[in-house]
Amino acid sequence: MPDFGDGYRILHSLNPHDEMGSIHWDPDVFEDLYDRITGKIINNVDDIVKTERFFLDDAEVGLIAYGSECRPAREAAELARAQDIKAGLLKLDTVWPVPERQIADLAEQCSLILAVEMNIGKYAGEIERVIGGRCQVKRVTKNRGLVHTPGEILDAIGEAIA
Amino acid sequence: MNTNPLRRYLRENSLPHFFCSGCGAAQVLNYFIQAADELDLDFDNLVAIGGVGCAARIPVYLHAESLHGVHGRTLPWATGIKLHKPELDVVIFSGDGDAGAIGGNHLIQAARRNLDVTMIVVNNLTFAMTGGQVAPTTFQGVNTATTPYGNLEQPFDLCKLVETAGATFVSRWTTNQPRRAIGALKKAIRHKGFALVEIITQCPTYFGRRAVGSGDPVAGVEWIKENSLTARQAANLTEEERVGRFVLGNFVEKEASVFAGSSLYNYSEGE
Repeated sequence: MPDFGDGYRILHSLNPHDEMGSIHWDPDVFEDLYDRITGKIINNVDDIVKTERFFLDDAEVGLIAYGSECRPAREAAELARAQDIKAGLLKLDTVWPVPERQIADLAEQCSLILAVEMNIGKYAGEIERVIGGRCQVKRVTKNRGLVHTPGEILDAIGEAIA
Repeated sequence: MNTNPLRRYLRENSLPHFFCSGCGAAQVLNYFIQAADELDLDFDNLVAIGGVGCAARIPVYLHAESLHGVHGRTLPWATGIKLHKPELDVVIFSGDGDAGAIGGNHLIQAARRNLDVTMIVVNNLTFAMTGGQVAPTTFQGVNTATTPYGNLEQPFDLCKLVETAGATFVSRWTTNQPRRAIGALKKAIRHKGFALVEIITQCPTYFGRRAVGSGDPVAGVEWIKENSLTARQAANLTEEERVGRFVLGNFVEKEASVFAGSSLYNYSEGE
C-alpha cells in the first residue's frame, strides 16, 4: 500500500466504500465490502487458528482450556495419567475464530470432554455447539478470581468418570 | 466547460457533497480551499483528517490523502502520521463534539505537546449528524433534542481550553467573516506547532430550528452575528455579560518546540 505523501491521494474512510474509496450507502457496496473484510477471516481460518495438543494421541478424556487455565489443566492431565486415566489437553491459542475442526476431531476421539474455564463458562457454549452431542461435555468452572489448581481439575475428571 | 477554478482541489468521485442546504461546514470547506489556493499548498503533501460527524466529512471532498471515520481519534492518527513523516502538512477537520467531547483528552494532550498540525474546529454548538443533541459547546438555556427545556450545563470555551493546555496558535472566527477566517486558516496552516482555528457555523437543520427558532440559514448566520464580540468589545464587558457570546480574534501566536516523540533518544546521534 502506498505511503502518505506518495501522491496517490487515497481516501481512507471507515464508511461503506467501493474499490475506489468512494463512500456509498448502497446495499451492494456494503455487502461487497463486508464480504471482502469478513472473508479475510473466513477464507483463512486454517492459517489463523492455532491450537496445541498435549497427551492427546491416545486420550479418552479431553480437556479444553485457553489462557492461564492451560497450565493447571496440563498438569491435571499428567496427574490423571499417573492414575491410569488417559487424559490430554487441547490448548486453544486462538479462541476466535473458533477452532471447530480441532474441537470436532477431539470429540471423535474422546468419550468425555471437560471445558475448563476460570469464569462461569463463557466458552463452554461454543464447545458444546461444535461437538453437537457427539460426546459428553462437562463444564469445569471456577469464578473466584483464581485459576484452578491441578488437583481441582483432577477431582473434576474423577467425578466425571465416576 | 467553465468550472470553478477551485474545483480542482475537490475529489470528483465524492461529489455531490452531503451537507444540508445552508450548512456552515460547507463554507469551511470553501474557506479551506481558498486558503490553500492562496498559499499554493501542495495537495500531494497534504493529509486531511476527519473523525465522525458533519464537519468530519470535509476531508472526504478534498483531493488530498484523506482519512475519515474514527470518532474523536483524529489527533492520534495525526500524531502517528507526523512522527512517521514530519514533512507532511496535516490538517484536521473536526466538529465540536469530535474535538471537545469524544476526543477531548486527545485535544488537550496534542495542545500540550504542541503537535505540529492544524486543527479546524467547525463549531455548530450541537451534535448535528445524530439529530441535534446537546454538546459540550452548547450555550446555557438553549433548547436541543436532549435539552427540550433548555441546557443547564456550562459550555466549553475550546479556544481557552487549548490555550491553557499549550497551543501555540489559537483563533476563533465565524461564517460571517470569510476573509478573517481564511486569513486565520492561512496562518494556521503555515504555523509550526499546534494551531487551532475554531469557526462558529450555523446548523439550520438542528441547532437553527431548535435553538435559534428558525431553519433558515440566514437566521442562523444572523444569530451568530448578534452574539459575536471582538476581543476589544469583550474586554469592556464583565464575565457575566460575555456569557452566551462568541469572542472572536486571533488569540495566540507564538513559537515553541514541536512534538517529535516522547523519548530523548536522538536518531541523528544514533546513526
